[in-house]
Amino acid sequence: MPARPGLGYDLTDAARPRRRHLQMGLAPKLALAFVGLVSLVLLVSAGLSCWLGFREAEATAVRIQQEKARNTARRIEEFVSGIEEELGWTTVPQWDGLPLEQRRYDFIRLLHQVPAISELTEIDGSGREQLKVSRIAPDVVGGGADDAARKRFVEAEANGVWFGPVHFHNMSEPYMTVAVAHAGRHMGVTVAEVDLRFVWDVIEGMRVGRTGYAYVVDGSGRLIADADLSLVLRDTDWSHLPQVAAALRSLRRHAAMPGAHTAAGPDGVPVLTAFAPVPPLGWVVFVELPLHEALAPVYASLYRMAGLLAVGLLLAAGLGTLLARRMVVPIRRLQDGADRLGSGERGEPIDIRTGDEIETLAARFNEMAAKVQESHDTLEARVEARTEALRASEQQAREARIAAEQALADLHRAQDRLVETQKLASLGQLTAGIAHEIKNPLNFVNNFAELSAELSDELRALLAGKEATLPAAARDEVEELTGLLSANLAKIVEHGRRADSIVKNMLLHSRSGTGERRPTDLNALVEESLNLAYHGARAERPDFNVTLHCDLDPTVGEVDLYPQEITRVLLNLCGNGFYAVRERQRGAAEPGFAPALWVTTRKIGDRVEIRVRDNGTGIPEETKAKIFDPFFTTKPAGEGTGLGLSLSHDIIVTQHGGRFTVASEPGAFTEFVITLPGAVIAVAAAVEGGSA
Amino acid sequence: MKLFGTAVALLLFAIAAGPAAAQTRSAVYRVGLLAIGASPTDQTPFGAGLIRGFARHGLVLGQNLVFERRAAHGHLDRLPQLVAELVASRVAVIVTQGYPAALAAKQHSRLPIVAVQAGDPTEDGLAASFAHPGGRVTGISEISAELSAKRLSLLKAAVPSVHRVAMLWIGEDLGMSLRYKAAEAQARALGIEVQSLGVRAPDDFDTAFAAMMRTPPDAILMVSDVLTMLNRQRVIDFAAAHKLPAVFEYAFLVRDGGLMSYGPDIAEMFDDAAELAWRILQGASPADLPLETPTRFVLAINLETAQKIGLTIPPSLLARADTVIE
Repeated sequence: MPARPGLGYDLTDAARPRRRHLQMGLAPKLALAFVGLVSLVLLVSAGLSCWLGFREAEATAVRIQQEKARNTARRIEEFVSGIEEELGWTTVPQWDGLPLEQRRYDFIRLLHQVPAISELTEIDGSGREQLKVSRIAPDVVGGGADDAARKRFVEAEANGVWFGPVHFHNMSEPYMTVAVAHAGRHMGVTVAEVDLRFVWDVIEGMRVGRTGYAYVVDGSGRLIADADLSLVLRDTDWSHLPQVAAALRSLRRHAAMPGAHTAAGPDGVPVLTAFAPVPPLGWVVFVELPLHEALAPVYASLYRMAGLLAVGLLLAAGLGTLLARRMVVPIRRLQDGADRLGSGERGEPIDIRTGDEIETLAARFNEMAAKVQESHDTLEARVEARTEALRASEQQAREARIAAEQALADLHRAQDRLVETQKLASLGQLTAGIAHEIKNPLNFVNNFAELSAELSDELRALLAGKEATLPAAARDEVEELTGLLSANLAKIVEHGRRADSIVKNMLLHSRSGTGERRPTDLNALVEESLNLAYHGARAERPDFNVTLHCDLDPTVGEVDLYPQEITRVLLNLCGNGFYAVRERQRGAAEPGFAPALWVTTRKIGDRVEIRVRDNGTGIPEETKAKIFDPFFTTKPAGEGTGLGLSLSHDIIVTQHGGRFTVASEPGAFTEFVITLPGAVIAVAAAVEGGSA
Repeated sequence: MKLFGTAVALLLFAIAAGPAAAQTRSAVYRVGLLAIGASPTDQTPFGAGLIRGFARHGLVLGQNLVFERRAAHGHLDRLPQLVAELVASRVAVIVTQGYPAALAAKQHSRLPIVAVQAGDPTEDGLAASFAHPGGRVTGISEISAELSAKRLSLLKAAVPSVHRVAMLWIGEDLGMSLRYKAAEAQARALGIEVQSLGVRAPDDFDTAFAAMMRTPPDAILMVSDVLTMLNRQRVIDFAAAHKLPAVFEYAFLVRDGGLMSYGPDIAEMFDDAAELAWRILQGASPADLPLETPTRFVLAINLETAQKIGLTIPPSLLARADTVIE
């Protein structure tokens, strides 16, 4: 059977009980569960602590920023109130009484002392400018410009102090007017122009973290002070910033201070922002800290958490794997043991010493394995006994079958013989009848032909005595006629005898049980028959020559047979052999051809074998099947009756219960083999009896 | 394994990026200095003020700061050439002294300019407005026109009898013409007549002095333009010789022998200019950098000179003085 590797592999694969491929082993599962649990706990705790940390850091940052914003607001207030105080001593009643030049001198001194003041103006009680001292413009003494209707005079007179709105020189530099009323009723007002760029000093001194900053807007959101002076000078309006808008709104409504919150800073960076108002001015101080700095501690703790988490996870993974291994390795061994048992191996007992349930399980398993092994052994012995018995009965059956087959073959043979015998018997009866009917007319033909020949001789003799009486011509003519007559008669006789011979043979064929059966020296019989045949052939054709080889087995001895019949068979076979060699010699002029005939007898067991072999023309294969049929002959008409071999077959097979076979090779040889049983078998007798 | 790879990648990145970041930090800044007069040294207010201002941002001359100094020495026609040289030397920003220098830098380069001592940039057209200069020029405004009037009033305070003041200024300098006009306008209010002595070339000084000799003034107001600065000693000497009180713009001229001065501190202005230049070096546009004005003005009086010309400074004025040289 051709090998089919794929199929074969599959089959073996499928046939073997294999360990099912597991999607996930116990060890990873356990490890995963462990890691999952630990990381869950870690994550939750880290998340909580991060969140809390974030809230705390935010709250702290907010607190600090609010504090800083308040602080800055206070410092701005101080800055402004400082200016107010500086102006204070120009508002005392005594000052008003000083000479103008003295008052101018005081103003100049004031400018020296307070760099933020760029210009000082004294307005008298009627609202007229008395004195103006500036850093830039030339001083004006007794200018008398009318300020009576201006806010700086009206408001200051009304409220004592007036802080003007922020205004911008050159549309760029922020200034504020501070007007302080002189003591007493309508005693005048001192007005100072305050350069708000000096607030920068306050803002610049403000430190919020590393990158934090502060700025101040006025009530309309216009930037007044910033660490970046350029922004202030650039006329920057930040009222659109959400935190500024919200703060201004809440201030307008006098609502509660909103807490610090996150917002986008002026430069778009997310910041934590806090503010504080500067009450007398309506300004708002903002303190902002970029979120990334404000939350830096949170981030730091977040990274720490992440680190801890990573370490925790690693530890959990390691421990989980270790634990899982400790649990799974014995289970694996148990499984391997089970696999071994499953595949029928006689395994050693599983050795597990974990001291836990798995060890107990292994012990139970070992017990079970032992029991299974035991029952397995018993079963094997039983199966072996059964197999033996089966084999024995099978042998018996085979023998019985062989015997039956033998019997059947014997029966077939007997049947064949019976059929043949009956066929021949009926044929014999037919031919015997015909032969009898032909024999009588033939006797007449023969007898009268012989008689006519004698009569012809007499006529010739009569004529010989009367030579003179008859004319010579007539005599010759008569003699010629009688000669012809004699020749014709001789032919009639000859062919008559032949016909007679055919009829005799037919009678012989039809007749059975002729002669008597007796123990006969087979070798002598064979020798005699051979000689007879040879001489017969020589007598018929004197030029015939053949080498005879006679090999007779002396152990053959006497055989119980019908000698007359066997002789006929032998004569027939020898005759055929001689004819065959003659034909070969005649047909093809083979130079080295020496006609030969071998006759052999041999004792084989209780049988006797006679072989007659010639090196003649042989029998063609198509003819071989028909040679034992009656009236089949290959000889030219008149030379054979076609009954020789048919009769011989009858004699050997039917009469003697022997075997008659032929082997031949055309152009080489023909060998007839007669096998006779040592004793006459019953069949022959039965046939005889049947046909009688 | 993956984590390890990421860590290695980060480390490599840090190693690769480290020097790059360091390089950016250690970049060398090139700043052009363009003066109409003498070349600015590290001691003159121009250089010293800038050095001080840049130092606040960690820029040290000779290390990460390079000055390309160009001076016209009074030859204003050479300014375009000097600007071209600055452009060729690949400076990032030009700090100019004087209006002609700022104008030349604006006209002959495309570089940002920080103008100092250029008069009032909004008036002379260098910048659109204080809050939004809008062009390539920003800088420090001197409020010079207003201060010119203030100077005259201070002169009057020192010598109440002063009536006729000669003003030396260079006609080609728009900043100076503006000062003259402002001074002239204020002079009437103070009852002073301003004798305008516009000069064009160094040689004109002799003509100017000759004119002053013909009709001697009561006092001299000297503005600081290129020619007066180059010839300041002649002016001081002339004033001393003729016992004329003279008022100057800057304190250093008083130290050199001038009677009195009122004006901002030049070094302070350049200090502020360095601040603006730094902002520009950091990528800010000069168009968005508002013009700045000085907040501090210095009144300096040289009592020695006063004594020489037989002048007694009134105590009220003396009290006002920030700097008194005795």
